[in-house]
Amino acid sequence: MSAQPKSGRDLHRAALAALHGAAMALAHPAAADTPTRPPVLQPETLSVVELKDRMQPHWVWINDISFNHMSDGRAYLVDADAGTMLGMISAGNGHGVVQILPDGKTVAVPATFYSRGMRGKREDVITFYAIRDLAPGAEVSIPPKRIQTIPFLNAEPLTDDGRFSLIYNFTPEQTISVVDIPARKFVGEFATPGCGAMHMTGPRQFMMQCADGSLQVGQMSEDGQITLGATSATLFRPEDPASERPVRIAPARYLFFTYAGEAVEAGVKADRPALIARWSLQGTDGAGWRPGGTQPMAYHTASGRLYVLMHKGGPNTQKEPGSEIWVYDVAKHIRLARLPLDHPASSVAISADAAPLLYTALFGSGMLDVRDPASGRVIRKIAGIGSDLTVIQPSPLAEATP
Amino acid sequence: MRPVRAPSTGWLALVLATTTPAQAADSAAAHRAWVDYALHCQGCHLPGGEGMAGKVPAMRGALADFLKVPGGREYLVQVPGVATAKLSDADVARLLNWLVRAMGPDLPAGFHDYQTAEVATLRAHWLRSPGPVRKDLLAAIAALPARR
Amino acid sequence: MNRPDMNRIDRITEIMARSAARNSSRRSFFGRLGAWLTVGTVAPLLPVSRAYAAKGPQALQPQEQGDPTSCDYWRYCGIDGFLCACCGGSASSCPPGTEPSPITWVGTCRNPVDGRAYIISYNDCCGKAACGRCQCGRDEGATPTYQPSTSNDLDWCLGTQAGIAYHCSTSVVLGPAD
Repeated sequence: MSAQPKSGRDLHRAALAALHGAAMALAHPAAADTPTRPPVLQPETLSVVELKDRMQPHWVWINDISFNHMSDGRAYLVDADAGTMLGMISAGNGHGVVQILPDGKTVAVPATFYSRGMRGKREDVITFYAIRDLAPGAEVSIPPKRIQTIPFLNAEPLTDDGRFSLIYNFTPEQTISVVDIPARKFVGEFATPGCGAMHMTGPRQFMMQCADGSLQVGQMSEDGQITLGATSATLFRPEDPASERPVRIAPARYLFFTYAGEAVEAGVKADRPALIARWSLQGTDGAGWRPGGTQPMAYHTASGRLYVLMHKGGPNTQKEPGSEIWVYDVAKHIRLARLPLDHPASSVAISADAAPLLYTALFGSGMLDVRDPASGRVIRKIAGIGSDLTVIQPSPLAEATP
Repeated sequence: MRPVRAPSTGWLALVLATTTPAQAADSAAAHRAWVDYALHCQGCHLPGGEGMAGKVPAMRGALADFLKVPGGREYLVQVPGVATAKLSDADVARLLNWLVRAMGPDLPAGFHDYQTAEVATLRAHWLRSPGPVRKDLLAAIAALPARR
Repeated sequence: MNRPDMNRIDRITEIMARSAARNSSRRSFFGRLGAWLTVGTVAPLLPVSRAYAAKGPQALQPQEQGDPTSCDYWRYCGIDGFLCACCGGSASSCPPGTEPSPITWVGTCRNPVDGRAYIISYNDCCGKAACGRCQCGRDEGATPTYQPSTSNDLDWCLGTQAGIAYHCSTSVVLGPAD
C-alpha cells in the first residue's frame, strides 16, 4: 500500500503488531515455550525494490501492446536466467519500443497519452527511467504524431552513442522528430515524404525505406538536424516488398528480407546506399516456407548467425508466426540448422553475449520462451508476461556487472 | 458512357458527366483510372479529393492549376505519393490525365495529355523534399493574373 | 467454414489449443495474432440520417453471401483487426458513438457470388477502446508501413477528431475493380 516505509501509518501498524504479539504470548504462555515451534514472525516494514543500476546480459525488455486495451501498453523487464519478472513500465497508447541507452543504465520511452484515457487531448512524450528504480523521471514533450502501428524496432531508434532519439511520425504525413537525449530537449521535426523507418548506419547517419522500394540516406548534424542524402535505385519489386523489420549485420549494413523470403543485404558506403548481396532464405530445399511474424529475425553479432522465424505458407502470410527457426551463417549465405518449435512464435531475439539465450514469444500468449540457440530447446518459459507480446529487446550489454 | 456502379457519393457520376467527350468515349480508361485513384490515392485524399486540412492537401478544385505554372506539370508526377505508387508509368499517365480533369478547375489552354515516356523520365527523379517546391508553385498559382 | 479457408487466427488458435493441451498448461491461450486496423470513407457513404429514427447497421447487399461476423467473409480479405459487425456495427457501419476515420487504406477482394473483384475501403471506427470481438488477420495485398496506402498495420484512426483510439474495422464496397 504505502511506499513510504517510515510513514506514520507504518509505525502505527508496527506498534499494533508488537502489541498483538505480546498479547498472544500472554494468552498462550505454553505455546511460546514450545521448543519445536519456530520463533514468531517479526513485524515488517514495506520496502520498494531497487535493481542493479544497469541491464545485465540476460535481462530483456518485452513489449505488450495490450491489443484489447491499448491505452494500457506495457514494457516488461524480465531476468531470463532467473525466469522472473523484474519490473514494468506503463507506456500508454500504442506502446512501441523502449530506447535503451548504450550504458544500459537508462531507458527513454516514447509514449502517447490521452487526457481522458481513450479520448481527450493527445500528448506524446519521451519519459526517462533509470534501470535502478524504473520510476518515471524527466520528460520531453514531442509532437503528438508518433506512428501507431504494430511495433518495430526502427520506428523509434537511438543514435549509436545515445545522443539523439528519432521518432517516426505518421499523420499520414511522414516526418521524424528528434530529441536530444542528454539535454532532455526536443530538437525539431523533419519531413521525410515517401520514406519511413530509420535504420542507423553510422554515428549520425541512417537509411530509410521508401515506398517505391528504394533506400534513402538521412544525415544528422551534431546538433540533431536531419538532411536527406543520397538515394538508391529501386531494390525491391512492388509485388514483393521488404519488411520494415530488418536486422543490422554490420555497423553500416542491414539484412532486409522480402515477404517472399529473399534476403537482401544493403548498407551505406561513402554516404550512398549500396546493394551488397541477394540470397534466398529458402535455399534449395525450402520451397513453400516463408519468414513471418512481428519480429521475424534476430542476429547474433559475435557468431554471425541469423535466426529466422519460418512457416509454411504462400503470399499474404507475412504476419504468420513461425513453426521453426532457421539458422544461417550470414557471411556464407548458408543455412546451418532448422530448429522446430514446440509451439509457434511471432517474435524472436537473441542476447548479445558470448553465451547467448534465444528468446521467442507468440502474440497473444503472454509467455516468453527462453531457448538454447544451438538446439531451440526450451530452457524455461516465463508465463503471465502481459498478453500481446511484440518487440523483444535484449540487453545491449554483453558483460555482467556486480 | 458505361454507368459505373460505385461510390454512392455521387461524386464519380459528377466527374464522368463533366469529362470531355474524348474522355467519356473511353469509359474503360476512366474506370481504370478511378480504380487506381481509389486504390492508391483516396485512402488519404478522400473520395472527392478534398483532403484533410492540415494533414492531406486538397486536390479538388486545385489540381489543374498546377498545370498553369512552370514546373507544375512535372511536380504532379514527381510528388512522392504519385511517383512511388505501385503503378506502371502508363497507369500513372492515365490516372493523371483523368485526375486533372476530374479535380479541376479548368485545364489550361494547350494542355496535352501526360505520356508514358514522360512519366517514366520524371518518376526516375522523384522529389524527396517536395515541400519547398510545392510552396513555390502555390505562390506562383496565387499570382496567376487570370485566376478566377 | 471449410478447412482450406480457415484464416490464420483460427489456425493459431487451434495450434495453441493443441499445444496447451499437450503441455497441460494451466493457462488458456487466445490465438490473437498481430492484427490491425483500417478506414476512409464511411461518412460520405452512410445514408442521410432520418430525424429521430433509429438507424440500424447497413445490411449486406442481396447479391452477397456469407457470414459477415466471420473472418472468412469475402470482404475481409485484407482486414487486420476487430470486425465492426461483431461490435454493434456491420461490414459498412460503425458502432454507435464511434467516429469513422476519414482516411484509410484501400484494397480489393473478389466476391465469390459474382466472381467480380471489388474495391474495399477498410475504414476504422474510432474513439473507444478496442472492441475485442471477432479479431481477424488476413492480409491480402497488405504492404509494410512505409507503403502506407496499402498497409493494414497502421492505426488509421489518426484521421479522426477522437484521435488514435481504435475500436473496430469495416469493409466498405466502393465499386467494381475489374
